[in-house]
Amino acid sequence: MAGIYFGLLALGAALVLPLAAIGAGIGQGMAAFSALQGIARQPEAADKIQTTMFICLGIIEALAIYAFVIFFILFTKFPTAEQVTQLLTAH
Amino acid sequence: MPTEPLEHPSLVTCIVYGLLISAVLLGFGIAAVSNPQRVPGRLQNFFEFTISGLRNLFMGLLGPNGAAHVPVVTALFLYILLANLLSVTPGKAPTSNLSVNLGMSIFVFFYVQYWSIKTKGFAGYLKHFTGPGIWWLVPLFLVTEIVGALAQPLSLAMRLYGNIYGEDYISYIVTHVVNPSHIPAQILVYFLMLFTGVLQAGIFALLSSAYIGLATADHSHDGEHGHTEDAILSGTTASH
Repeated sequence: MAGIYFGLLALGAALVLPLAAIGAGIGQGMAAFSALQGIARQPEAADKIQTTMFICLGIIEALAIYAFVIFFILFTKFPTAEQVTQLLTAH
Repeated sequence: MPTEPLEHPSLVTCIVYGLLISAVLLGFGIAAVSNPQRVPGRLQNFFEFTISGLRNLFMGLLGPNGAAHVPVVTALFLYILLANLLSVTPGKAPTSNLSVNLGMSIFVFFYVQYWSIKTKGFAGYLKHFTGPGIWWLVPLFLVTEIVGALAQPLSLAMRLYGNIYGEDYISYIVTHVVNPSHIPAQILVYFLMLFTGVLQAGIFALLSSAYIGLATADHSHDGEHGHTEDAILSGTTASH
């Protein structure tokens, strides 16, 4: 049972950040795409668009950061080297 | 890979660094304005340039009558900026401790609520939680607005904490993977830290000013309000 628990823990810790990064990457890419398009079409509005874009990027980025924080919470629950050797010798 | 996770800076460290940053900011600020000249000296010139630039940046989001809130947001920005940049020095960034960030974001939360009550009146403040005035949507809006208001400080604090602690962690891992006596490999990470430190300080202050601007917006016109993202998008256009 402990093997399954630690296996799932490792799987969760490994998958949480990539999955969040895919979503946040697509979102940030779309935001930057639109902002760049807006600046290219209307260069005099660059300042306003940039400020708004940074805020939007911050809001989107927060989602990835939540996953990052969850990764750290999972990371502290990883087994130590002694626990792993105990598990291996038990089988 | 390092076997031990990176420790957070202790609260005592954070308080000491926080007081140090406050002392530096206060000292330079007082030195800059204590003897104002018509033709500004070097320090006064630098401060005037910085403050007016930040003021223009924040006023776009605070709205036309948000001049009273500029000092608060600017102070938050400068404090977080110096705190973030401490992670490049041998010291530790106080903002990589969640408690410090929660302290600042809870202050922002109460500040926003206070000014929301002050501008809308208590009845208007309560009414703002019930949405656009369609009676069968009131329970839904009540839940959404209250959760949204409570999520503001949490997301502010978590964003800053995750970014700064994450960068500290990256530099910690790099120093352990690469033998530090060969090349100072974390120098490359330091550029990332400088960039993100400035950016995150800006985002914290900009989002705070957006929240304050939302709360103190004049609701006599029927604009879209209550939804943070919508209002931030329209915030820059609503300023003129």
